[in-house]
Amino acid sequence: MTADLEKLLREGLDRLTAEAKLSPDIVKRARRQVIDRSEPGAVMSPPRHEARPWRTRGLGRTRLVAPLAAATAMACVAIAVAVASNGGPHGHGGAGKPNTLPSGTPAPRPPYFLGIYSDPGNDLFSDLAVYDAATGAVVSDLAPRTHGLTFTAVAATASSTEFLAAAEPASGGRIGCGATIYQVKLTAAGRLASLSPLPGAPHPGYVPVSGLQVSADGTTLAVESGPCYVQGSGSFPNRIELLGLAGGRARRWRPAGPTIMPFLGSLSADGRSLAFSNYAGIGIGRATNDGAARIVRATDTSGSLTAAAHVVVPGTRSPGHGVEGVALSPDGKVLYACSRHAATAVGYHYSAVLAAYHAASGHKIRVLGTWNSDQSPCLLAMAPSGDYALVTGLFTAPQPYAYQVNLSTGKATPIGRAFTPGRPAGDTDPYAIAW
Amino acid sequence: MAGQPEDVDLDRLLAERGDHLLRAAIALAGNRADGEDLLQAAIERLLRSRHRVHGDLEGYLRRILYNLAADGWRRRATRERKLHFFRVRGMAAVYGSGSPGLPDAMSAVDLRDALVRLLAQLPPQQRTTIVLRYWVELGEAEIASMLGCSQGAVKSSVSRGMARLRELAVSWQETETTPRSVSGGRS
Repeated sequence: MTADLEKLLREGLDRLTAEAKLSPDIVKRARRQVIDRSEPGAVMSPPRHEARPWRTRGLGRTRLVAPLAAATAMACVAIAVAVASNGGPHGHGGAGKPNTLPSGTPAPRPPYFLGIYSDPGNDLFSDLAVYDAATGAVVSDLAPRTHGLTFTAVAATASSTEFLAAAEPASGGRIGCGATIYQVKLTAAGRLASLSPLPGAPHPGYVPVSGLQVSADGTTLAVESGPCYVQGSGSFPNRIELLGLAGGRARRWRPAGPTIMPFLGSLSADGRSLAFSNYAGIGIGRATNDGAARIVRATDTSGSLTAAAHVVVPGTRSPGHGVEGVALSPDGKVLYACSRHAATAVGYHYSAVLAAYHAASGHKIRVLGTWNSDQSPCLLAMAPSGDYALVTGLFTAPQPYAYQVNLSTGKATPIGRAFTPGRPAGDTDPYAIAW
Repeated sequence: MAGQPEDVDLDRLLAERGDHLLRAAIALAGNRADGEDLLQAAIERLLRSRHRVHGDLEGYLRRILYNLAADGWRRRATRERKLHFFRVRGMAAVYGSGSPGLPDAMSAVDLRDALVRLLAQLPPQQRTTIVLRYWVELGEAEIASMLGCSQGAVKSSVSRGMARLRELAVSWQETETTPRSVSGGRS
């Protein structure tokens, strides 16, 4: 068995590494990182992973305690100042003030997108960063001003400089046990202008918010949530609800049948249609996700999400094959879906396919792009105008990390990977995005 | 940087041996994208200490590469854990599988590919020593010298890693060959 295992492992690694060619870009990027770090004023951080013998690793932790404590104290002060400057904390959503979300005609192609990335130094924390939508570069890392909060979901508004984010303190190995929805305002240069609890946002009560969307008219929130996540245990979304910011009306669906873990995709501009997907092949009890894309109308009265919704892109129930990201056009008539399929080229695990469908009939209008990828899932974020979409999460070398897709022409423009001076490549790749 | 005399040697090394180094990085990291990032990080580190390096440039670069891999360089694992924070993480609990490899484990692939993916679930030190021992085909003494640890530590790391990999492989085979039964909710 051991000899077989070694042989099989060797063959597997041979297959994995076959056809690998060193791209000059890797060397160029390494040189650029060295130059960036040596430039005056560049963000300097000690290498997170020292290339030293493992017996000595961990000694640095002691030396970092004092600076970390100081940094934490300073960050807390910064947060307190930011919150106070916005009228003080309002607990879970404020004291009933009317919402202040922007509405109107959104920009066709917002200059920035907001993303959540993992803090590599702390498994529990996820931080926010602003990314350039044309290059993928990190414009500003908001972590220094949001220390103590871990972010779980982001959403775009009609304004290209205002976003929503769900966040909460991560402590005691628990996340998702009481999130607050924050309003994130950026300056025209993509820097953080303010971070404050969204006035008037109703508090869903259980609030482990794992997905968040807001209608373009600024009146309705869609929230995907599930049980409280405890480190070391599992958790998964098990409900979607619509919350009216003005009247507080709530429409809640619990999934059943083939949609047992709904993943919120997007909300139409009027807040009346909501698209969602699920991961194929995952199941609880006797039910299994089918990997389909569905749309539910706010007027549907059925208590079951599956019964209330209609299928737009059929699922297969085949693990690893199905819709992963969905976005609705502002008028709710077209559904864009990013699906995962078998790779079409040697050396890749998957392919991601972006296609447009008639929301009512499910008729496929056109395929907008196909990309082979090492990773999944495919993330999809549409600009509020509905003119362009971002497709990210492809993690495929040597191809670019993400594409900006013109939804009228299908032209896909590659954008770069999220580099931050002073941080290792890939450290700030987002795993959730809003544009 | 560019234009300095040392770069001639480095450029030559990368032109002649770059593909081999990239293959090693991919094997250590577990996939192409992470492998490229790992090699990039190693080159970056070499560039920063370039003025101190004379002689065996490839040996020096490999030493950095191997140590970065053994030192848990891989950030993808964290990113994926967070990516599947509410999603695949929960599914992992349902299936009883580690989240970083879950989408891969779901795919119908043969055991060779599965082993590569299961390898990614091992701690970085075990993963690195296994790759160096069985794929790069270095001796235990050589690995110990490269990683700055004792030969016994290498032997122990390889042995524990292979034992764990075997367990994971058996579990994977059982999952693949029997109807998947899932039972209720979170773990």
